[in-house]
Amino acid sequence: MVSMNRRSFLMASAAGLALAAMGADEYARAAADAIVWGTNEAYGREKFIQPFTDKTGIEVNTELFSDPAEVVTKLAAGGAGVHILLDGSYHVEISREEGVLKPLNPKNVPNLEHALPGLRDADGLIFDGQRYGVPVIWGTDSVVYRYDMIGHEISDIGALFDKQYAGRIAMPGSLFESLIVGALYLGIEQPFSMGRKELDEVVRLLIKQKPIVRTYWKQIGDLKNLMGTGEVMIAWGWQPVMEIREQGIDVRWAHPKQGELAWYDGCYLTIEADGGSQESCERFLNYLLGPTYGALVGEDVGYRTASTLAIENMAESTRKDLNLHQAEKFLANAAWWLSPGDPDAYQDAWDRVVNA
Amino acid sequence: MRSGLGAAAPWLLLLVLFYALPLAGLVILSFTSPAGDDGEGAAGFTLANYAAVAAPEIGRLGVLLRTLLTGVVVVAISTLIATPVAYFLAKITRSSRTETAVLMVVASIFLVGPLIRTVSWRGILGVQGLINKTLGALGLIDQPILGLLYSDVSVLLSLTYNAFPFMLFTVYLAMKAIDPAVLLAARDVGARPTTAFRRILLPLAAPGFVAGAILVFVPVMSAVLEPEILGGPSARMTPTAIRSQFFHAHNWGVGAALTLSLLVGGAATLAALAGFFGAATIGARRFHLGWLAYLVRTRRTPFLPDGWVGRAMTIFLVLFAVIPLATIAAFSFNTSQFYAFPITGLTLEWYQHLFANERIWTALANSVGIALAVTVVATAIGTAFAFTVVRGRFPGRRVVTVVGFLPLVTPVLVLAAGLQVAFVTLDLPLGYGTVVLGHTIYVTPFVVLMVVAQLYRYDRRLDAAARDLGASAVATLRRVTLPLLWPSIRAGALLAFLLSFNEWAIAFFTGRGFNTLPMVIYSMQRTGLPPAVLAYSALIVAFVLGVMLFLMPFVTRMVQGVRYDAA
Repeated sequence: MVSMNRRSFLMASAAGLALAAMGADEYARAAADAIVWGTNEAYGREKFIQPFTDKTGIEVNTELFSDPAEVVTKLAAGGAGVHILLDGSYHVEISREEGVLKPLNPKNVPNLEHALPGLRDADGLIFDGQRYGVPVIWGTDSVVYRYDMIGHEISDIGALFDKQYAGRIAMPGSLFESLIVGALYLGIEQPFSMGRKELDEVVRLLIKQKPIVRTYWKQIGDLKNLMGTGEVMIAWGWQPVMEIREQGIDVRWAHPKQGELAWYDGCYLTIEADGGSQESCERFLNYLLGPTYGALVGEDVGYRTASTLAIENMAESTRKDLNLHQAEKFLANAAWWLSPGDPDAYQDAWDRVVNA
Repeated sequence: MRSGLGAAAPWLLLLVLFYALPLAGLVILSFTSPAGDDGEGAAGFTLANYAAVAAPEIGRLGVLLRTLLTGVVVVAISTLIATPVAYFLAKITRSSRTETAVLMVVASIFLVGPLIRTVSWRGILGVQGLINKTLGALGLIDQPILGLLYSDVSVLLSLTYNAFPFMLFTVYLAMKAIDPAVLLAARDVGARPTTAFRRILLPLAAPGFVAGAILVFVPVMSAVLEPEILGGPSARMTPTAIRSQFFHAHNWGVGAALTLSLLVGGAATLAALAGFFGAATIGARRFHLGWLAYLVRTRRTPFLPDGWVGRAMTIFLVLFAVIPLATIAAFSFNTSQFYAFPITGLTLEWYQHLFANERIWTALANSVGIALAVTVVATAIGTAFAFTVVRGRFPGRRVVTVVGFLPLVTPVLVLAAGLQVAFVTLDLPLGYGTVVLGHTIYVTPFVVLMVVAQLYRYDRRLDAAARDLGASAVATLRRVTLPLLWPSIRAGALLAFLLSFNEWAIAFFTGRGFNTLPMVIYSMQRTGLPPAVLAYSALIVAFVLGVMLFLMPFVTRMVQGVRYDAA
């Protein structure tokens, strides 16, 4: 570890002091057996990737983001050097329209046949008959609440708009998700492709809700802390928030009558994967759907894998904890969270809510 | 010592190559309509993006005005709390240890990354935070006060916490540079302490106030973390709106128009602030130079008013600086992973995780290496530029000065994306070198500001005296001018290091294939900052303060601005 740090340190200093682009140039040329994966810290931990490198000799460097949109902007500007992008079902259509993704060769990803059937060809993986990505991790969103503070079960999204919880409600603040929640509550049939009139209706609802909202949470880590400390007692949240139950917090997951959302994170080839790197990337995508990666992530971080091979490779207790034994049943009825059809209109609508 | 435009050339060249290009692109983008969805519609001139910024039903203009107002309020609060402390440290206390210790503690705030600093306020202001728990334990409240967190209070508090050290350091340096004999003179002619403070000390320290106001105001114009992490449902500020346009809606036209609106609004507010501080302080100068010169020569009793206000404010400010750092340290030993009191149990588990996390240490090495390189380059070119704009005699000097500061008023996220475009356009492969270049462009104006503030106050007669005594221009610069300016240059260098070390956006956009420490920490925040990150922060503050305490005599001389070899 020490020699590695020293090397990085010296590289950074030397390259900087000389202000030489040469170092970076050499790096780029030497990247024939190395690929770069734009991902988040939780998915891109070294111990998850190392088995692939050990087996293939291909080095996988990570470019860590807090939001995939950051990498998309970087790719759109050019020269980003990111070959594989982790992106969500809720955003990938936007990424494709930005022109930063490219089709892959499914023949080089044989483990695709071991993806959960409900996820294998889900919307957002295939465009115009061509496959762009593979599903890797999936999860669900719904109403979450502190049972110990509320004292009864919740089965209606309307609880998020109930004044008796004033000041102790949190709503999602990113990816227009609050607009979708509002649409579900109002019974709008196509929450991801709302027109102006429907968006106006949702905006009015959310502006009316604002005085009883404590905050709009941005990252799942924020929500864990909000629920864990009792700062809020009810929220619209993502499934990983349930991890705080391990800390003895009685947080519960509602199955509201209006429905809940399902999402997946997939991995996509970017326009910068070319020549030699594309094949290496596809081998890595295949690894992500193999028996090792999903099992490691499930056991270490608590996320649900899209790979049946990985599910089989998990300890029975982990499989149960993650509710993966009923995955197919759930996925058959899931409402998939997709990119909004008109992101500009959704952005304007969300701006009207937060600026009000 | 007079310098021509040549000394400013490196900084101007960097600006033209890597800043003017993306800025021009941004201007064009803001006036351009996008091509049609089918790709066939031609892009053309439009004012629609600015109309979208001004559209009353969306309320972007209101948020912009609130952002500017927030900046002004943070400057005002920072000035109120920093001025008496700077005065106490520079002119009242006779204990150089107190002086050094206070400055070290305040500076240590910057050793902790802005994300962790901001998050730490949850542990102080939350329902299970330090304040609510303390008030509850004292029986003063039955229910926790909800309005402390996720409100304007928490946002302003955290913005001030992240910015007030700039005001303290610049005003302190400016006051420290004022000859005590000037104050003795005021005493001699019967001036009351408050009069001397108001009419002599403040006017002479004016450049420090102006520099401080700029340094405090500018980060607020890029503030994303504070309103997002600590704000309530109506806490949005313009930088977040800009990010949403560029990253989520991918509506670059509106994003560019919003950025330029903030840039123009920010520059205008900054000019007004600088004018206010200049007028409010320099305008109070009512003394006659000849009269002053006579009084300075008399050198009577030291002018030392009762410093209880300064002393009390210093204690308050030290507590203000230390409490968030102390909560970070406390939570790093807590068995619970939440930022909440009371501490549920003590553990070293997070420190074990920290030492086992190779990614953090590798990223730390990257960040330190880059920051060191940036410090050397930015300090050299920033100091040279400062000399040029203060002492140079060439046409368009004012324009050159303004151009040199432009990156200051550009939101960092936009600057980062723009720099990437410039590097790629100029065929510079992204890597360590481009991150250093990018950070140099980001931090150099800060260095310039620190040095300029003292250069404006520099008594040129000292140089003239040296020349009269036969010193060459170079010898005068090396033996007289630079040693007298060392406190500002050192402060600028330190600032350059810390800004580069903690910067995320430029490193992300202009680097390739490696991670800096802020990149790792920001990505960790997605799933929840692990306590190992708090352990790292506590460790680095303890380590640096420990080393500095050990080296206290040397550090004291550094802070005092006395040349070490002259002791």
